[in-house]
Amino acid sequence: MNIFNNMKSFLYEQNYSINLYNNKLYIFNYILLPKFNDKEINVKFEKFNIAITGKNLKITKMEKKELLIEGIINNINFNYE
Amino acid sequence: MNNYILVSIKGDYLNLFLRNCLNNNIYFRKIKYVSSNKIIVEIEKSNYNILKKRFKSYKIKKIKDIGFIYLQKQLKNNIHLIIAFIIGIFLLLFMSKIIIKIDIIHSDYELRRIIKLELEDYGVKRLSFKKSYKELQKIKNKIKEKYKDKIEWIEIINEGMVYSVRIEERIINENPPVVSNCHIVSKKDAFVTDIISSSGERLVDINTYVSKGEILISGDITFNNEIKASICAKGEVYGEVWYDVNLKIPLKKTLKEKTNNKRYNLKINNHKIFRSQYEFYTEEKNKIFDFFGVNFYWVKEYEYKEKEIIMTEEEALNYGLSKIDESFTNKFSLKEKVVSKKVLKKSLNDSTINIEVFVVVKEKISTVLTY
Repeated sequence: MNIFNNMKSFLYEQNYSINLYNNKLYIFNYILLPKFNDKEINVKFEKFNIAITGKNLKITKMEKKELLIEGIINNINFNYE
Repeated sequence: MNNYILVSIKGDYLNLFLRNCLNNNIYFRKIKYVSSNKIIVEIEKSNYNILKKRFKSYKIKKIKDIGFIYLQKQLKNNIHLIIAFIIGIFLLLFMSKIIIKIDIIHSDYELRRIIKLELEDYGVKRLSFKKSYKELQKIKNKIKEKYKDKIEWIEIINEGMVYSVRIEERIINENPPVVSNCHIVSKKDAFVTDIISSSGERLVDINTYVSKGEILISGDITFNNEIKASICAKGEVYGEVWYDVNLKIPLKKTLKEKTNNKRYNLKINNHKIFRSQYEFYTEEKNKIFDFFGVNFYWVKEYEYKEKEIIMTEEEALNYGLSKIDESFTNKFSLKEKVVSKKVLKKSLNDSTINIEVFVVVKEKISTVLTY
């Protein structure tokens, strides 16, 4: 059962993923993008939201489930509903 | 596989634009910010028209196809170049397998000629395909085996499109021949007409009758009835020999009568390109060229008709006599000939005529007898 769950989660990624790199933030499995400007980006997930603040924030990849945000990231706030 | 295109989008409030795209399920694989009011995006080709329709206030322009569809277009535009390149590669590979020249390295012309003919028999010739290493080894061994008294060693080296054949000749030091004594004797009963003698003692004269086995030119040199020396006599003796020939000639004869009709045809090796229109014809073929072992011939077909004729007695007789002449002269050398023919007996049957002919022939009657 454990193996099956692992395989399922590997093949069919249902969980979200937020990866922070040097001046880049990769988000996987988001739902909505309620607010977006060069100083603040809000991203909605299933059970929570995040607010990313910084300077010169730009979205360089915008796919159905993937987002790549570049720029100077100062803060990431998590808001649980 | 989705096809992506590169699109430039120019306008104000680009962030709002991106959010609206997201709300309309239009996604961008890559977004590049050129300036504050211009971005270049990678978008699915199917979404391009939707984008143009929905966002008319923005300047949306397609730059180029990317990905697989771009490759497809490039391939289509450069198809001639690609085909030429592929043909070039094949041509190169093909030409590298061909023999352009065969260099047989040896000072003896006759040996070079023999080796050249042998190699041609094995398919190693100009404008033919190269042989593999194993095949070449086999050919070399076969040639060495066949000419083991002439060739010590043979090597075939492949240098580009040329085969260099190096031969080492076998030199056999022969022992000097043992000279034995010999007579010139007659091999048939005959009437001597010519004697050509270079050494030995002549024992017969012209216009004498000799029998089989008789010594014509002796190897024993005598003086005062004493044998002074023995040598190998040399010479040739010609004489008239008599033959009795019996012949049965059929009176019906099939003649080939040529019409003036002629046709042309092409042949590849032994296969004709066009079917012959004539029932009976003779063929004359000329080689045009050969291409890697395939021979092309230009063929002329001459029509003839078969005509059956019934000969008269005299015609049949003359025909028979000419056949006798033919059969003798085919075996003769220059000095030999049929002197005379005489019909001794003839009898006519239903469809044949039987004749007995006495033939006088001048031929060489001498042969060497060692002792």
